[in-house]
Amino acid sequence: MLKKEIKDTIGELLIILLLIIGLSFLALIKGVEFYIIPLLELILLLYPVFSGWSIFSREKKENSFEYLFSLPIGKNSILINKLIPRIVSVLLVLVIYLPLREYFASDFFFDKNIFIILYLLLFILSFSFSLLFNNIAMVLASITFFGMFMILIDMKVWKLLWYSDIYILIIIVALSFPIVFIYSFIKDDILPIKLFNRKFLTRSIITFIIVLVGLTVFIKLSGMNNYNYYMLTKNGKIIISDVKSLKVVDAETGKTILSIDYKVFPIVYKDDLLYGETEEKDKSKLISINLKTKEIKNIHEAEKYSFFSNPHINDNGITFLVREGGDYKSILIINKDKIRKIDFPKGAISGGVFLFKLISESPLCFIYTKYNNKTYKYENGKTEHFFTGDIKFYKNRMVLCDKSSFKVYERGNSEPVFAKNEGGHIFLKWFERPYEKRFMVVKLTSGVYIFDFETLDLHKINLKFKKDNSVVTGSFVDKTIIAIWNNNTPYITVMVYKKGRLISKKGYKSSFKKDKYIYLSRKGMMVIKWMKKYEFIKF
Amino acid sequence: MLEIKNLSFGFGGRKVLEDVNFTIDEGESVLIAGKNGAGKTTLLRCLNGIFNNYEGQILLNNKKIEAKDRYSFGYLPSSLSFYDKMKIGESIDFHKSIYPYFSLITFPDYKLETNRRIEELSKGEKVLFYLILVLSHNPSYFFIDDILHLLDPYLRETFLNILIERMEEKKLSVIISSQTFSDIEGLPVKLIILDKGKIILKESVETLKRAFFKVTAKKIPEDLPVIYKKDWGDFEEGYLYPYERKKSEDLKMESVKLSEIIKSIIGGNYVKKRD
Repeated sequence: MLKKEIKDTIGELLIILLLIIGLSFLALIKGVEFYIIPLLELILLLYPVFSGWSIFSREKKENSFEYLFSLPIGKNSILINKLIPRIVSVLLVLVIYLPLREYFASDFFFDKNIFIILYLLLFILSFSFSLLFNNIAMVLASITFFGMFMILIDMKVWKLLWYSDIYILIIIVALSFPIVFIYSFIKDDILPIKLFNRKFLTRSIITFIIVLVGLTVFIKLSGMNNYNYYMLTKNGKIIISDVKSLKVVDAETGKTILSIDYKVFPIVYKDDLLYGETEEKDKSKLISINLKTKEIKNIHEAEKYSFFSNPHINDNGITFLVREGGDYKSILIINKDKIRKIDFPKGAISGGVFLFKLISESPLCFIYTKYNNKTYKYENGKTEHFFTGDIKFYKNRMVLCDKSSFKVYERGNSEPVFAKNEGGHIFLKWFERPYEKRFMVVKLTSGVYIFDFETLDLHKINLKFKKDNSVVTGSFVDKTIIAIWNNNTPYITVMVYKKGRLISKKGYKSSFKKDKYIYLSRKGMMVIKWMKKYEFIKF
Repeated sequence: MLEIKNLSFGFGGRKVLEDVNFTIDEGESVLIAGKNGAGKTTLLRCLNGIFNNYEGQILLNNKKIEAKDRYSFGYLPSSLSFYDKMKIGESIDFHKSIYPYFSLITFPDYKLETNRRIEELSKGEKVLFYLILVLSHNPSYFFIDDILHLLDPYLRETFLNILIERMEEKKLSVIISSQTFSDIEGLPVKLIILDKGKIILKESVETLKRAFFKVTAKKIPEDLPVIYKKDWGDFEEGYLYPYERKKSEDLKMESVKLSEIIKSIIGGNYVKKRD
């Protein structure tokens, strides 16, 4: 039986592998990959749909259910024998394709994890509908309908913030279909199929509703959809936003300094100004709130559901990227009261941007890094990939660190001003991204160092850093503070360095064990438990 | 021994089988007859694992039947359900991979063309090929659901001879559901008649034939147990059951064929009396 199923599967597998090979070769042609890779990805997403749906397509087409079930094979074995080759082939295609994605690192439709989740989800859903629908178009339509319905549920009922949460919950809901299918398949008689499908559909709908209601109650009770955004300013103020209102608290005393009932998603602060995003009926707005005077100012308006992302702060002010309709459309440059907007030329920037640095406004030149660690440079009307690895900016200097080297470049100089022929990793937390800090921590092959962007000194420090540790640095005028913690323990080690020399090292205990991250100020640290709670620990 | 105890089954809120009880011994042959929709195919489907959600029990050698027990079953469904896109050679290999004691038998005057696809076979050829496949895995119980009429008379006779041979030599039990009885007259030893899912008659053919008579008379006396009667105008024709023939009788009595027995039972008073 297994042999027959392998034979039934192998033909489809060969076709999809040939397609991957063929389209990958096509994608090697420069300029063509822009279209080919998303096309390949879409075709690949059809494969698990087909593979899942085809599990009983032969029996339906050739009217062979009666023969199949009369064989001396139990229903469990039938299902296992049919599933194994299909699961293996679906995973094989995925395993072959993922390194290719990394290699091309093109502008894909989906993020890697989303692609994997979607790919597997399509398989389990289409497998569940394999007896229900006679043609694959119906399977695709029902999966699309399911996806749209879940998006609607999230938008209107769940209102979750994190994609990861949404995916996990959608997976839980979607899993109800294969579970009900397997249960029905083993428990019920398959013939007549109409009766089987009627029972399966009734059970699925009931289970789907129960799971949906259960998860909704769970979300509401656990406060999973209540989030707080925390920021710690250098002068010891904690900014707390639950999106509906904003509060500023003195970190040391815990007293509320300011409270505003205003719907704002905080993005970044500079001096006493907090920049955030708010939404009105038909538009999205970037606003600033003066934390001393409560004054709210409109900075920029864009079409509804736009994002003001990738803030970058340096001596010239703050730059934001404006994302409208899924694409980065323009750069906003805010310097004191002056606001300038530069539209991106078509095709200059695409995909999810992790870091953005505007080099010059005229002629337009900028550097951006994607989440896959590939950095691109736009200059003279062209976007070119120029580096893969970690990158960090400070004023007119830029450090590039990959597996084999650590180099510092200065604007206008093609030769590095500092270079070390060993590679490593720069620690950069997502919430640190906006700020250019003078000091940074880098882990190279020979050890952990503090690098001073001003003096170009690389000081080795005696720091044992394990793989699952997290680190954050606070770069102040006279000192560098480094906090290291492990997410499985409540302990945090804080070290203070002056000019590369360790002046203090102390251990602290947090109330939070898992899911924590840390903001540093001169006088203490704010430990945040995954957007839910915070505590301030004085040094 | 295959034992069917209090078997009831239905779908869509309709009872198709109700409290069916009978046994099939080694080397025994059973003919299951009944009107269309009486539950014959459903009964065979229950016995062969296509329907499992039945009430009651199906016991093989006093143990509840499981999927693995069907190694000793052979089933020829009326739907001729098979993987039609398979080539004959492939389907032989497929069967071999499932049945450990598979040994391909030959059929007189019929050569298997291994490269032909099953969908290319005529209905009769398909039945023949199916029979070869099933007999090749050497079943102890062979279920045939109303399909033999698709074979030509020569093949039908050849096949039935093989069956009889196997019944004698290997104690094969044969369970046939059929609407045409002329060819299998010599085969069944037990007749089961179903009506609306219930067994209305369960008797050996030999006993039945001894108690079944056809009577022809101008007017059939009312005290005779007539279960099926036809009025031809000048005379009447009736089937008597159960009836013990007396020597002094002046009525014209004849022994009856199996097909007449079944016809008179499912179409006559025997059923009506039970309604």
